[in-house]
Amino acid sequence: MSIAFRSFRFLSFCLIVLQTLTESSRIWAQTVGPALQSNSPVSADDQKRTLGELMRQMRWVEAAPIAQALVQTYPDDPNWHYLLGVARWRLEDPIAAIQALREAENRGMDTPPLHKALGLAYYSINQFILFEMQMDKASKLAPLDFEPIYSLGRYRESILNDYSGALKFFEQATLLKPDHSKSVYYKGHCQEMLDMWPEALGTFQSAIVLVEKNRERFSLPYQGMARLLLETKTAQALVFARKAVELEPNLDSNHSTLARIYELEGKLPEAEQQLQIAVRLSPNKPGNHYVLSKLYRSLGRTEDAQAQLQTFQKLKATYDESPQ
Amino acid sequence: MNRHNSLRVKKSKRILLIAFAIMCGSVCPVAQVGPFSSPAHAPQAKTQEELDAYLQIATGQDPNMVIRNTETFVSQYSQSMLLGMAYQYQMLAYEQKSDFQGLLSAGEKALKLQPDNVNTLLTLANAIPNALAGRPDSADLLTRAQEYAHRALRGIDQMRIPLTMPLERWESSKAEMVSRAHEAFGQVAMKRNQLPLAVSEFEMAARGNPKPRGSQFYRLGAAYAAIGNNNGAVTALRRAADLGPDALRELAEHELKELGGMHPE
Repeated sequence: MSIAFRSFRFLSFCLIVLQTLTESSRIWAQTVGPALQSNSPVSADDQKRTLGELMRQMRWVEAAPIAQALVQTYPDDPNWHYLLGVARWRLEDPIAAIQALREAENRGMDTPPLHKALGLAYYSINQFILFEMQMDKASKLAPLDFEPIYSLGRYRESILNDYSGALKFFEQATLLKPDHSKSVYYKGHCQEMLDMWPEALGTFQSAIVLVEKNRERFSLPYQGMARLLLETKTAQALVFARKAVELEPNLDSNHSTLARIYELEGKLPEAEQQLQIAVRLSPNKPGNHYVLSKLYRSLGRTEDAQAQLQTFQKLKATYDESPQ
Repeated sequence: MNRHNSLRVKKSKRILLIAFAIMCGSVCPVAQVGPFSSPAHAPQAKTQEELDAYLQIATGQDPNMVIRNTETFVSQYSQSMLLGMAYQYQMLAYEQKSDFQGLLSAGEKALKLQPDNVNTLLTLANAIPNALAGRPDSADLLTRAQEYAHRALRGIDQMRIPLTMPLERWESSKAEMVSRAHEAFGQVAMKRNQLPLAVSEFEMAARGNPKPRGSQFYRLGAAYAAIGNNNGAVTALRRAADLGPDALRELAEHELKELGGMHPE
C-alpha cells in the first residue's frame, strides 16, 4: 500500500509539475514582480529560461538553487517561491517545500497547481486536515479537474479506511476522467472492501480495459480480479494473477496473490517460489513470513516453518502495519 | 564539550524533524519521537498558520528564537496538538544554551502532553545528573532521572516503526537509544556513589552503542578510575580520545596523563 501510494504521490506530482509548466501563461499572468533585470552577469531572463528547462527535465538538484536565486531577486513574485517549493518537494524536503509554497500563497498565488502541490506536501507529513483544505480549494478553482477528487479518495481509502466515503470520490473522479484507470481500480477496490463483489468484478474489468487501451503498466486491477476469483474460479484467477506479476514484478502483493492460487491448486513448490519473491521484495512485512511458515509446515519442513514463524513474530512486534 | 553538546542537539533536532515528516510524531529514527501512532492518529494542525508557526520552531537555528517562538506558539495555539512537539524543540534549545532549568521546565511540559516520548525522556534523564550542583532537590531530581530512563526503556520496547524503515536501521537506532538510557543510569549511580553499578551501566552504554561515542567512553573511564581500576580506565579513556570530539579528546588525554596511560599500548 505504501509503495502504491508513493507512486501515486510521485505521479500526481509529475502531473502537477507538467501542468504547471504547460499552463505557465496563466500563472505568469499573476506575476506582479518588478521588471526583469538583465544587467547581472547571468541575467534573470537566463535564469528563468534555465530553470524552466531544468524543471522540464526534472533536474531538481540544479533547479533548486536557481529557483532560490530568483526568489531572492524577486521576493514579491509568487512564481519563484512556487517553483522553489516544487523543487524542494522533489528533493524530498517536504518541510522546505511547504514553506516555499506557503510563501507563494501568501503573495497571492491562488491556482489549482499550487493548492494541489501544497496539499500533497501536507499529505507527505501527515497533515491531513490541511491536505483536505488544499484539495478542496483546488477543486473549487478547477471543478473539472479529477486529480484533487482522486487524491481525496485515496486519502479516505488508504489512511482512514473509509471505503464508502472514498467510493463517492472515486465515482466522481471517474465521471470527470472516465479513462483514468487508477480511479476506476480504486472504485472497484472500495466496492470489494464493502463486500459489493459483483460490482467490484465489473469495475476491475473496466479498469483492465483501460489499462490495456492505454498500455499502462498498472497491475492492481488484475490482482483485484485474481483476489475475487481465486476461490470460485481458480483457473481464471491464475491468468489474472500471472498477468499482474508480468506487469509489475516488483510488487510483493502480486507474488503473494499468485502464491495463494498455486497453493489452492496444490502446486506448493510454485507457491513457495512466489512467496520467497514476496519476502525478498518486502522483507519487513510480517504477513508474508507467516504464510510462508504455514506453507513450510504443509511441506513438512518444520525447521524452515519455525524460522519463518520466528521472523513473523519479531516483525509483528516491531512494525506498525497501519496505513503509511 | 559545548560543541559536542551542540552537535547532539542538532542531531536530536534533525531526528525530530524527520520524525515529524513521517508521522508528525513519526520516518527514520522516527522512533525517537515516542510510540508510533499510525498516520491517521498523527497530531494535526487545524490551520495553515498554526503549522507555519510550528515549522518556524522546528526549523529554527537560533536557540533564543526557538525558545521565543515556542512561547508565542503556546500563547496563540494553546489547544494545538503540536504543543508537545513544540516543547521538545524548546527543551533542545535550552539544552543548546546549557540552561538546565529551562530544559527541565520545557521537557516536563512536553512530557505532560506526550508522557511516553522517548526523546524527551532520554534528554531529561541524561541532563538532570549533570545539573545538580548546589540544588537542594538533587536527591529528588536523581530519582526523577532514573524514573525517566526506566520509562524510556519501556517506551523503546513498545515502539512500532513504519514498514519503510529497514530492520537493521531500526535495530541500530534502538540500540543507540538503549545506550543513552544506560548512560543515564550510570550517571545517576555515579552521583549516588554507587560506583560498581555506574561502571556496569557505562559499560552497557559505551559498548552497546552501535555508533560509539567518546563521551560515553569518557564516563566509563572516569568510573573505572573512581573504583581504582586503572587498566579499565586507561582503555576506556584511550577509546574516548580516539573518538573525540576535540574538546573531549583533550579532557581524555589530560586524564590519561594523570593516570600515566598516555604511552602506546
